[in-house]
Parts: sequence; structure tokens; C-alpha cells
Amino acid sequence: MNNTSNIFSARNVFFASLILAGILLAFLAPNAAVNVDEMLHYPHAKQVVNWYFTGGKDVSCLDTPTSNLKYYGQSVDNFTALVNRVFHIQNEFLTRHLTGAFFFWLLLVFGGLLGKELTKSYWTSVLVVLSLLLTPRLFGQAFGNLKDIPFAAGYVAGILYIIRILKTFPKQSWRNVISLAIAIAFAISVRAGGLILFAYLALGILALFVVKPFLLKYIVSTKSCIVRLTGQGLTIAVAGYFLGLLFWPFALQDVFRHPLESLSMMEHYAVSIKQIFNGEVLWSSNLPPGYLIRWIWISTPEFILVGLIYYIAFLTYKFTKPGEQLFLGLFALFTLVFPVIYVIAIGSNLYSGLRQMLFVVPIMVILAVFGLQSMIQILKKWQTRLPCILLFFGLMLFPLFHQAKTFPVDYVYFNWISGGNKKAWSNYEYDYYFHGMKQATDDLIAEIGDKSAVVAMNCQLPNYFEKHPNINFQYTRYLERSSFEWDYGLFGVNYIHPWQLKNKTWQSAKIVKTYYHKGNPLVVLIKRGKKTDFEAIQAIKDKKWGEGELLIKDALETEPNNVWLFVNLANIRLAQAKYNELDSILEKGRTIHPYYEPFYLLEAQKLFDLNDYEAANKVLQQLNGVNPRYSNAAPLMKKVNEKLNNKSN
Amino acid sequence: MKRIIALIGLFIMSLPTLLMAQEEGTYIENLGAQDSSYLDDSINTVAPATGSNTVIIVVVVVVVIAVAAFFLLKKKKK
Repeated sequence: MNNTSNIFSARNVFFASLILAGILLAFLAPNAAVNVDEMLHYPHAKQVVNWYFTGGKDVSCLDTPTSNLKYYGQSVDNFTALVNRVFHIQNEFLTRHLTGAFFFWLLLVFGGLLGKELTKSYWTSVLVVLSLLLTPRLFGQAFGNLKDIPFAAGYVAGILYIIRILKTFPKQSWRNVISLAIAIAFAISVRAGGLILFAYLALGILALFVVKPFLLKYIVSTKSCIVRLTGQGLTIAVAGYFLGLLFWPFALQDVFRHPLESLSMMEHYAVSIKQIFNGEVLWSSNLPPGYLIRWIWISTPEFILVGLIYYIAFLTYKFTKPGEQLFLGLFALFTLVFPVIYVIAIGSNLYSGLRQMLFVVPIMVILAVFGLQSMIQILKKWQTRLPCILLFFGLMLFPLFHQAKTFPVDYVYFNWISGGNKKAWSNYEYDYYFHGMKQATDDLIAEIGDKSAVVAMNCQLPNYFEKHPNINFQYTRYLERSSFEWDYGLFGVNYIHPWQLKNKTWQSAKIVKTYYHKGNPLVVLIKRGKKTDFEAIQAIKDKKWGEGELLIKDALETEPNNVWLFVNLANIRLAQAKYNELDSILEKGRTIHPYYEPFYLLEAQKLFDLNDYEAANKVLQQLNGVNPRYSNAAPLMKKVNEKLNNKSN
Repeated sequence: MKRIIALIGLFIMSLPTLLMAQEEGTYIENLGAQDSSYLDDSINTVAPATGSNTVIIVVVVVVVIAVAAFFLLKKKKK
């Protein structure tokens, strides 16, 4: 009997949960989808590896003027590129996805240990493992996101060792000191934001001196203690900082300036990306301050939110009990709240939901479990305790069913408090990683078979066709698809304007299959057939207005919702100076997409050609309101301003 | 006679211009709407990054929160 209870000790159950999680991750990794970020970072990782192999002669990894990739440490991406190169692995993405799974597993390990450190119970660790697995925004990106998930693992590991050090300070073990140095080094090697862990350590020690003033007196009066602390401090500072830079060529160019430059760059990321937020299209560099909080509110699983309520209730209860020690719990809370407040305060450029802030989610999960456990301890009566437990575990079923049903697009999770996925579609970023393309490309490859074909996509995922030499890849934006030559098109609904999605004017008449995600269109497969639309646009490019017009009218009969054809027809009329007909085309086009930028530009250009500069300026201002980054309008805007200035002078 | 021939010749030579007059508007080469852009390409001037203030902001926030937490804990202890 005793042996049985020993086997089922909390510690053993924690280990068993890690083993089971490992098996699950290894089983799912080969079926994971490749995301669009991988196609950005992996080629760069190969260049980084080449930088080392050529002894710094190949500097292509440092020349990233538009992508800014040199500012990423991305050590895990680099590691996968190295492994694939050294072992000549053909299935490069499998290596990446297994590596991603491993780092997610490390996140489970460190998350579990941090839970145990805070509550002194391995049962918390077990629950943390389960809860992290049931957090779709984390688990769903475990395989392909080799930046945010490994960084989260490094962040959680860093906090774990900081707390262990604070618990035993000033007699902390060398083991914890070295572990912290490694955790910080790893976090920095993935993202420069890992530098924040140094600040946490300093803050923790400072706060400890404030709470326990005698510690400072003890340290100052004990010479051996000062010597040991200096040695340990230097180990953390030097090893934590410099080890983190070893696999980061840009940082190695200037070890003190470049990591800080990178941190500054990441805080105000220069790339602006269109986002669908709250039913509007916004640029990521102009998002409202409430963006991050809203995303946390709508995408965090219900049971985590309930656990956090328990945690807040527990904190409130503890504050009413004199003499209760809350130091470590508050410190952990600080590591959750501070980054969120900080990025809001400095107005960081965020995008793709809370992807850049995923590292705080595990802390949220751990505190939620902490909250549940605390409630169990505080509530003595079963009548009150049981509903609390049942509510927490019952709500776990929502993400569980979601994940089982939607893998590998399971990261697209919206809680029912916000109305669920149904309400979020067309109001918020949906499949921003284009995981939905996996199933669609598998089906299309089977349909194409041995025939030669060009496949168009509105995402950079040509990897799916690499093993099929008969299939060529063509990138195009969905609305502008007629400008390119292709036979089949696979288009994700991301980036399509919410107005079009809600008013159902986005669908092409040539869609042969729609892939759904919880009832929402995710990807559409288009079989092009006749290419009259493409031929029309080619004719227009050659200034053959008459031929172009005839072909466009023919194409519009098959695809009356093709807004790009209206744009091109309007462009013909503008070139022909047939302004009344142009107005009529713009009017028709705007019934399909009233916020389409080219319509504004065409109208403004017409007014400019008619020497009505003030009216042209007014339309351009409207366009600026719709899309302040529509760069094609810049030359006309400049000309209009010059005319208006001349007029006023 | 020479004048008439010259006038006819001038008329024939100006025909392309007269025909072009029907197409005197503007053709816009690039109308596509980008999904992502870089700040340098933007129409509006964007405020420069303020990353150099990062360290100061971190230190200030950290100190304020630490002091607040301390007083809160101390008060509760009493």
C-alpha cells in the first residue's frame, strides 16, 4: 500500500506528466504546419551558420536592411540550421518542429518547477504542465515558433532561478547561480529582451534588502560573504551576457552597443504590418494602447482567467492577515505585469495578437494554478471548495476540445467570454501564421498530380511545393491576384478587409473549395480556368486600352466581385480622361470594397487632372484616414501640396 | 500650292498628337495596396524611436513599484 502511494507521489506524477507531454509533442511535431515566420527566419539562420563556417567572410546575415533580421539572436533557429547542415537532413522543417517541441517541453519543465517553488507542492507542477498544454496560444505555436516559445522557456527558467536565489540569499548555491547565468544567456541569445532578467535579479535583491534590512548588515560585516557574492554576481553578469552573444553575429560586431541597439529596435520595431483589430484595419505601428490588454482578455483560456481571479482573491485575503509572507508571489506577479505595462507605456509596435508577449503567458498560467491551490487551502468547507475546483477543471474542456478539433490551427483560440472564434473572425487577426495552408496544400498537391501548374498564394509558403518540380509558386495579394499568371490559387483570409468579410463581397466566383475553422472560412482554393483577367491587365500595361477594356468586361462576367478589375478599368478611363465613366466605375467598385485604397487614389488623380487641387487634397486626406501608409499616394500628395502652396503664395 | 502641301503635311504630322488628345489623362502604374511596409516608406513622418530612454524608464518603474510593494507589505505586517 505504501509502495503504491509512493509511486503516486506528486513528484512522480509531475515526472510522469512530463514524459506523457514529451510523447505527445514528439507524436504531433511531424504533423505540425510550417508558418510564414519560419520562411523568414530559417533562410537567415542558414546565412548565420554560413557566417561561422566561412569565418565571418559571408556577411549576408548582417545585411538585412528591410527585414531587420540581424537584430534577432534567434539562436534556436540557428541551431536547427546548423543541425540540418551538419547532418545533411532533407526534411529541414521536421528538425525545426522537433526542436520547437523540445523547447516547449522545457517550458513545461521550468514552468512546473516554478510552480513548485512558489507553492512548495509538486501537485502545482502537475497542474501547471496540464494548464500549459491546454493554453492554445502557447501549445499551438510550440512547433514552428522558434523565437517566442524558446524565449518564454528562457524567461520562465530565469525567474525560477532568480526566485531560488532570493529564497536562499545570500547563501545561494553555485548551482543556482550558474543555472541563472545559462538561463539569461539563452534568453538573450533568442531575443535581446532577455536582458530584463538582469533587472529582475537586481530588483529582487534590492527588495529583499528592504524587507530584510539585517541581510545587508550581515553581508557588509562578513568578508567571505562579500567575496562569494562578488564572484557569483560577476559569474551571472559576465556569463549571462557574453554567452548569450556567442551565436549572434551582429552582437559580436560590437558586444556592448549592438545588443542594446537591438533591444531598442525590438521595442520600436520598424516593420509595420496591417492588423485586423476590433473590426478595423490598422497598422501595427499605430495600434491603440488597449491592444495588448484586449488580446489577453479575448485569447486567454477561461480556466486561466478564473485561476487569476482566485489568485487576486488569495492576495486580497492574505493582505488582511498580518504577518503573512507574500514576497515571492508578488515578485512573480511583477514579472507578469511589468512587461505588459512597459510595452504599453512606451507604445511598442506589437502585431499578430499577443505573439511578442507570449513569454508572460506561462507566468499567468502559473499564477492561475497558484490561485486555485491557494483557494483550496483557504476554503475549508467542501461546499465552497468543490465548486471552485469543478469550475476550474470544467473550463479546461473548452481549450481541450478546441485543440483536439483544430490542430494544427489550434493556436487560433478565442474564449467564449469574448464571443469565441465565431465572433472574432473578421474582427481580429485570425490565422496570421497561415497554419491552415497545410491541409489545403496537401489536397491541392494531390489534385494537381503530375500535371504542370503554377500555384498562387497570399503568403510566402513555397516550401510545401519544394518536392514537386511540376508545381511553381507565385506570391500575390489576394485582391490583386489577377495581375499574375497562375492556375490554382490558395488564399488565406487574413489581411482581407473586415468590411468585405462581413458583407461577403470577398469571395471569388471561381472558388472550388473553402476550408473552415470552427465554421469560419480560413483558406479558399481557386481554380482559375480562363485567364482573361490576367490577359486584360497585360493589355492595359501595354497601354492597349481598347483590348484591355474588352477583356476586363469579359472577365467581370465570370467574376463580378473582382474589385481589382474595377480598379484597372477605372485606370483606363483615367488615362482616357473619360471622367464621367470613371466615376461610374468607382461607384460600382466601391459597392464591393468601399475602403479600397486605389479607388481613392484614382479619384484624387482625376480631381488633380481637372486642376481641382483642394478637392484632390480632400480625397487624399480621406485616403490617409483609411490607410496612412499607402505609399503609392505619396507622389500625388506631394504634387497636390506643391500646387496648393503655389496657390497660397 | 507649296503652302497647301505644307499645311496638309503639317496636319498629317500632327495627327498622332490629335489622336493622343483623347487619351490625355493619367495612367497610374502602381495601385497595389501593401500588407506590410517599412516606416521609411510611409507617407507621414513617424516619430523617432525612443529606445535610448529605456534604461531610465526601467529603473524608475522598478524603483517605484519596489517602494510601493515594500510599504504595502510593511503596513500589512504591522
